[in-house]
Amino acid sequence: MYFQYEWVAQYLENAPTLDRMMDILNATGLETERKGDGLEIEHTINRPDAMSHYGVAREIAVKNGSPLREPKLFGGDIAALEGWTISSDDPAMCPQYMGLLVENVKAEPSPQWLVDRLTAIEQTSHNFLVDLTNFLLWEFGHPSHAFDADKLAGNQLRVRFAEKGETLTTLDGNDHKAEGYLCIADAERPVAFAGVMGGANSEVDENTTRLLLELAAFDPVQVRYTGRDKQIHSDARHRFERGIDRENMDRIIRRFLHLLLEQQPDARVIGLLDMNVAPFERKSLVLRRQRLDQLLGISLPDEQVMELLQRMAFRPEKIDQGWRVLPPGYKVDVTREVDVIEELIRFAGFDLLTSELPAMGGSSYRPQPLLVGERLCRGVLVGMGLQQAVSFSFAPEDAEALFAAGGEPMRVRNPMNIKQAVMRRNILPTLLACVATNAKRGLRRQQLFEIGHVFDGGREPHHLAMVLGFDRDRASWFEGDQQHPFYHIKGFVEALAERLGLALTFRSDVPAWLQQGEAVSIYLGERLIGGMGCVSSKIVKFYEFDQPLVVAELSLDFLADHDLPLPNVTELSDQPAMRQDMAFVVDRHHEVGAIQQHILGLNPEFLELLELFDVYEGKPLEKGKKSVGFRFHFRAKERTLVSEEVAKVMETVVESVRKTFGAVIRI
Amino acid sequence: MDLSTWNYEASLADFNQRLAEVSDADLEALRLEYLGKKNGLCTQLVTALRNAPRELKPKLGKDINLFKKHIEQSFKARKPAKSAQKAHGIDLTLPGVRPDLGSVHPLSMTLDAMLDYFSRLGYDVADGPEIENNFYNFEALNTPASHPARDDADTFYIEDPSGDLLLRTQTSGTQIRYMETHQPPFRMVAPGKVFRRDDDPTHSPMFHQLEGLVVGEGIHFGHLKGSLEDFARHMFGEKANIRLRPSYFPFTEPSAEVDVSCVFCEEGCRICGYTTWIEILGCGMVDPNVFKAVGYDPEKVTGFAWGIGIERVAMLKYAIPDIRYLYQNDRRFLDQFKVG
Ligand SMILES: [Zn+2]
Repeated sequence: MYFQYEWVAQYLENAPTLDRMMDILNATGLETERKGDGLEIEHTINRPDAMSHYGVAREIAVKNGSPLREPKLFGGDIAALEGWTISSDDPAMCPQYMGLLVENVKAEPSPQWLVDRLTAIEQTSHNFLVDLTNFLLWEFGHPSHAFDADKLAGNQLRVRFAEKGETLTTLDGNDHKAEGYLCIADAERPVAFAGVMGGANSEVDENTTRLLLELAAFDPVQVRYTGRDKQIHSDARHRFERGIDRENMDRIIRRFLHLLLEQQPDARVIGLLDMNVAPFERKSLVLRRQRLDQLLGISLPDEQVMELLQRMAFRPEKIDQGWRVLPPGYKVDVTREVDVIEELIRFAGFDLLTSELPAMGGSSYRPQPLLVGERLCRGVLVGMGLQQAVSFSFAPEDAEALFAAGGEPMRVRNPMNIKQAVMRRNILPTLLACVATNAKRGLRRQQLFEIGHVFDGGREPHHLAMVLGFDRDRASWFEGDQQHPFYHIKGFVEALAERLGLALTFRSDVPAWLQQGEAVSIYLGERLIGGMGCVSSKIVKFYEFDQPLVVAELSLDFLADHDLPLPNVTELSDQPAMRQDMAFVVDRHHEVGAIQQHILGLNPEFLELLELFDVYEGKPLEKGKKSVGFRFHFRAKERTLVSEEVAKVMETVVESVRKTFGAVIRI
Repeated sequence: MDLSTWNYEASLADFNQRLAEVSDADLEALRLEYLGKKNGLCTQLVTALRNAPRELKPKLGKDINLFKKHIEQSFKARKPAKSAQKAHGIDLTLPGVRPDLGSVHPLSMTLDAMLDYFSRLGYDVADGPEIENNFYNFEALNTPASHPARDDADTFYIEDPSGDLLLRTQTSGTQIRYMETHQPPFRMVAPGKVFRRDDDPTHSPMFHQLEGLVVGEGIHFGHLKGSLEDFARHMFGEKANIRLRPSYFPFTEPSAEVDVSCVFCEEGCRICGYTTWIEILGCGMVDPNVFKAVGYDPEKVTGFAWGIGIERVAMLKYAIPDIRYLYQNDRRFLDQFKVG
């Protein structure tokens, strides 16, 4: 909000310079920047009192302890207005409504001083009568409205909610359905949205000679609802929804008359009707010395507190506990003791505060297994060369649906664009979008992972997703990479499982987003926690991937009640190990995992480690056969094994594998 | 060959010197001199050993064996140096075969630095849901329905029959949940994603926050100031200063904005807008209404709370020009965080 320096300065004795003014306002909490010959102030919501030139000047006066120069007012008598009625259906919606009727006025061009003031703050001059109301808004921060009294039917104004079928064309030319919104109505129809904008039907124009000035107080919430629903962002709404100064209303009427009569001495003041169904009363608050010190941690001297309270016109009275105060009408946000304390320290300055660390017993930190586990996962994955990614929690609906097993995602009611329409139930929909963008930029080789919340009904499981994108064109890829990409993602998952002490099992039936035969479901015990492998061809097409790509997505919620393994060291044998290699030729449909499990299931004596060292198909093997090579490591704890012992064990193993898998030993 | 004059140490030293000095052209000759099958020194030594006095044999045998092994190893080690220049050798200037370096996302790096500091000071760390309801995001935080901060313009709402669900606009809801299940005194921080309807080079509809809360008897504004000062020095260096300006948040009173002295300049620069100060977080003393909402007695306990935007700090720290870089996961961007 922009304020003219000269205009603010006119209310101050010994006005500070513009730069000094800026510093003072910043120190009191009005975020101010210098802009040309004025001040650009960004008000917090609680500061309607400073949304006017007088209000800004008052802030400076309080901070500096200097007096204000009050604007000139009309000093004559104002008669009570006869023959009109003003009413409010609900005193809470409109506690006070002042209607001032003046005749023989002219909607002529404004005098130069007024045009200059309004132009300086980027307001357009319309005619003298309308400009005056605008000037008052920018002088005191209280919106007023000028009706052409001849356009009001039945000499009456009533503040009520508009009824079914009623409409209003506002001054900006827009038509609105008015039903259910707080309006000012004459005897026949709504003539204004209360506190938001006047109606075109009662507008002041060049023929206007009788003016009815509205100066009222409206319920901030109703003003906000009307403005929000009708999308009207008026200066009036901005102030009414934050609160206005009920104590200043008489003065504004007199200020209006002063300025009007100065310009148009022939105007006839007919009278004022002050409907005041809930008169404003200052609320008495007690500020306790003990509470003041408790919150601030310093003890402001009595005299300083008293001085500041007086400057703010709080009418302080010293009592045993501290002070009794009556905050003025312009302090709309001061309704509690703590608000008074805030006002005091705001003007006293935060520099007075001490700077110390709280002394607080023992640690509050209680490691949460899920958070600790997630950070461990991240460390392991980064250590293995993966890069951490962060993508949006919301996703496009079509992409998100590709990864879900039916059901509905949670939808955002008011998304900024359709790419953010639903809440993701998996991380991959958004992570793969990033992967696809990278690929289109020629960055195909990617090793990404993301850990974050996903949204499943009312629950928010924590997930981990991984993506490995390959670039087969890359000239200098090293040898290991000739493996099927599935083995790479599996390797990462297996390594992670080892680190976390998880006994994962993998099953070949997979959800639709994974490619049957090139992917597995991941189980922890009997609990399905995710899947990994190649994505379905539908997804490949959706993201237009033209590169080998494997993914994994798993829920990490099990970490919440999973005990991370504690290393438990076993005695190390000094005895030499014996190694024996053995290659079995079997039909190719036999899974290596099954053979390996079978051998381990035999629990061969002295076997310390079983390594898979080779899987081979092709010449000189028969077609449809494959050779599976294992390296057996044997060791006895207390003594050196002799080869006969090992041979005996191997014999049993070979015999069993031969029987179960029809294996032949390859020599 | 006379073994009585042969000495292991001297002979080895002699060999080492000759190997060091020999040119690649003469290397093979040297090898033959020592390892030649017929007349090489090693062969001669082994032959001579047979005739050595019986009592000297074990020691001499061991020495000769070691000597031979050393020479063999030495030639093996020397070989690549010679053959690197040959067609069949390797090029030592080629890049090594190395495992990939992973990288931590800059937002995590920034958040970790903060969490490490606070957990060392004994702050608890709490996680909360990103989809909140009106009570936890607003009402318990002294932001009633009539408050302008509740406008649709800022908040994302979730389609649901109750109309009560929304994407949290701050992590403060986690603090309310924490207070409902913990009793003072405590200190805690709540990190996480938050959402506001904003999208430009410095604002993202999703961003990250860390909020802190300290509650106990005797907690006052000076503790807030001191705590933030110490934190600022941890994050921005020992020379960092902070400045408090009065502000407004519905859930704290008094409230303040906190500026940190610009780490990039001493007399003003583009980043600090030529003010030498950078606005970094918001804070205040917990509003008594917030304590009432969770059943604490605001007369007995007091507390302070603050919130900081992780993106803003990360962007300052790593000179990130556009907030959107942080969520696009462009590999060229992520690769820059392999260092440090
Ligand atoms: Zn700077």
